Amino acid sequence: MTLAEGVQLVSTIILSVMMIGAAIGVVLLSNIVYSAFLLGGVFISMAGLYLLLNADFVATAQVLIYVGAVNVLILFAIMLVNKRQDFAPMPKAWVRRGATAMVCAGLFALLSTMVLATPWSFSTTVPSSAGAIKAIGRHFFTDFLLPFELASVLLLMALVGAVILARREFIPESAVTDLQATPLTLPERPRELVPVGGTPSQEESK
Amino acid sequence: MDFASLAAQLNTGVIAPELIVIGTLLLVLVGDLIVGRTASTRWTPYIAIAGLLVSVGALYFQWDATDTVSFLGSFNGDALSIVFRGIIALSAAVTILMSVRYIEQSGTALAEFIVILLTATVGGMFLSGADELVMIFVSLETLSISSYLLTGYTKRDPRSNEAALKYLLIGASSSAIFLYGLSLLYGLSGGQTQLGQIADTIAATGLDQSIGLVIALVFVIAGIAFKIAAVPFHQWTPDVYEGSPTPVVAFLSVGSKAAGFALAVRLLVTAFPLLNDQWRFVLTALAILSMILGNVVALAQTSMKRMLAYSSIGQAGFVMIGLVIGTDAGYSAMLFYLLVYLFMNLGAFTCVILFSLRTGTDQISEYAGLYQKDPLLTLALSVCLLSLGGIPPLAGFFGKIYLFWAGWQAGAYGLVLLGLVTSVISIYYYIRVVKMMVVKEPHEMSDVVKNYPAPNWNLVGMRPLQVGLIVSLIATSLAGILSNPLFNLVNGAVEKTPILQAAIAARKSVATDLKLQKAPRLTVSSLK
Amino acid sequence: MFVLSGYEYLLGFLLICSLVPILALTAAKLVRPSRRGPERRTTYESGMEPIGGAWIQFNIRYYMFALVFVIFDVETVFLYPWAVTFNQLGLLAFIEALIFIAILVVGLVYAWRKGALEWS
Repeated sequence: MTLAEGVQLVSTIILSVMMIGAAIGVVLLSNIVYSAFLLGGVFISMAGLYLLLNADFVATAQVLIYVGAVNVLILFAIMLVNKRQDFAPMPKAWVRRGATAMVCAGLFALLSTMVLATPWSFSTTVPSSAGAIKAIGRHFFTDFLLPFELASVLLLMALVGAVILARREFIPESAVTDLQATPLTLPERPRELVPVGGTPSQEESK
Repeated sequence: MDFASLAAQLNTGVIAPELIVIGTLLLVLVGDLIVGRTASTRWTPYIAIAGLLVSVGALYFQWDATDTVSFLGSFNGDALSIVFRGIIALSAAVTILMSVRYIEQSGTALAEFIVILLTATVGGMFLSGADELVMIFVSLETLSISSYLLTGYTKRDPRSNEAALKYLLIGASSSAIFLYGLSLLYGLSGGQTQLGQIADTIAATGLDQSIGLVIALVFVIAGIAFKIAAVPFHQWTPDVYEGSPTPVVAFLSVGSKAAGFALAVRLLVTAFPLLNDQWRFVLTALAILSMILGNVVALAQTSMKRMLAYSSIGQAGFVMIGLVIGTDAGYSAMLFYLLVYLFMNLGAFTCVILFSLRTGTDQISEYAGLYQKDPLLTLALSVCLLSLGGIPPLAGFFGKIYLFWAGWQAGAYGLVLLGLVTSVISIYYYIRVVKMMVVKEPHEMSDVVKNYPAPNWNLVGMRPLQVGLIVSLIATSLAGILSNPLFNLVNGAVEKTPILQAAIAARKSVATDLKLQKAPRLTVSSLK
Repeated sequence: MFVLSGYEYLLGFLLICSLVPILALTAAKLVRPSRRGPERRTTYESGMEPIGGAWIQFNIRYYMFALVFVIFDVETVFLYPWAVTFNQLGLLAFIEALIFIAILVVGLVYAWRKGALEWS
């Protein structure tokens, strides 16, 4: 074993342990803020594994999108709700946990048997780190052109949907009175906003 | 690759119907931005419906096209996909008709609703012809994510929020399972993404009995079964159907389901020819469970939308019979039933919307005595429900007869008998609603029907609703008697689709091989 | 097959930058006096008296921006390979990318007009 192979092996082991440990933490910790931060750890370890697999573009995308955007979004969502309450302990919770653990273990056993038992056919093309991004670019504009263009429609719709669902509309007064007659509606009224830097009301309560 | 040769290879004309829908949705979005929300409500629905109908027209002109593969194999616009794309586009058009008034009354923006619905339509249409793993997944997600957004569209209604959250969580995990199955296919075939090549490579490397392929099959079927709401992947259906805006439910139960069936046919037939018996066995089990559970649980429902949810699970079970038997007649019966189901189910949902807009409830008991107040609504709802139950001479009867006949021909006696029994059960709960509406004495009329407002078709968005009601009423009543054009359409679609013909031929040859193998053995043993 | 060629520097940097906080904290631990008190447990806010806890309810506007940012982030990742291969791909790819961008610009205009990009 050369030094380089050793470094790779050690990095793989460290990254895997980090990833599995963080993932277990995400699931088992009861404080969701900690879970969200650990999720970021899972994503970063995954990006490291992608790097080891010579997929640097995927690793960059992983860090950019998952760590930089999705995880931050999750944290914002958690802090937006910010409800620190302990859940009432459920009776017979261990039955559910046991069943979940059994199902997960069974699935894991099945999939690992499958991974070990299947004679995989390997792609013959040599993975190249340097030309990977260019190859992806060429694929985007030749044989994966249609999914690429459809992705723009998907993103457009996601943006429209995000704006329409997250934006708070202030319904004009006339419309409010008009709509209250129908049973289908529950018009949203302007709420008092809570600034970030701590509010006077919070100060008083201390 | 230079400009001209690549542009010629793309064969962009095949996706013209989808391009029309995308153009329409951009037009609606930009137009709404320019003229503002109140002004755009007047014309956006009609632009969208016109776009969808033009798209159906474009599909019609592609019927005889020979070169159907486009975008270097990403998309295959064969006759099978044309029928499915037509069903999805039509269901979106009828959904828009019924949603104008609903959205108006729920106080949400109409243009965005139409944009998201059209995106879902585009996703479904692309999914019907997607012939390559990446394309399948991207179009599936386009359909799914739009459906999640539509489900939660009335964001001030907590039930809608709950439905959206449930649908999103279950849908995301099923997408993940489906994607895992696709990644196994990619790995087993050594990096192929085209469905046909995947099957060829797997056959060539002799991996056809490996456990990996079986697990890929199971995971893929789990993803598809979620989309078509087959038992045991149906748990989301009742809650989502009950909570979401009713037009969305109508689209989910027809358009999204049709897209799921299109995906099922193409993916299973093209990529899993080696596991033919296995996937048919799994789907048979799903069909049996769906028929039994869907129809039996629907008996106990008190909410109309929940009842229709369970009934749609049962209907999916019937459609799966056609897929399972895998003969010429089976595939065409499946397509025929989906076409008929489009009109009768959308008609039923239009009636439910109309009733809930006027009274604000969808409890079955509240329909009591509706006949005295609104005969047209009673007639339309009765016809659609009876057709769903399969009462002659309505369209649903012919659909079911054709399905069961095809199943009987193919020797699936058990399935057909079960289908008949569950149809009888389903007739009971459909008739219960009809009886509730028609034969009640005036003093047994429910309170909401007593206060039933006089039908006023001149309110904003009521006319489209009326048009949708009449169209589905006429189609449901006449599609059975005048079913010849539809029969020709679906038979032609099956005959003109190479993948289906290849699969049918392969099944026939396997069957004859078995017979031949049996025959020599007999002679050998008799010689001894 | 060793595939990490070109990442030796990154590895070196990783080692060094993980050493920095470890060294700093151990050095501080050795030098500082150890006292316990309520002041010691408060959040450090540049010498100001901290007001409230660190975990407060965020403004919904952050969420809105994060949501829009996710989508633009994904768009960036899609466009990067195009930018890298721009020379080789030719005119058709340019047109295709223009379609992609045009559809996304509609989304940007939508978010802008609907006020999703404004703070107030």
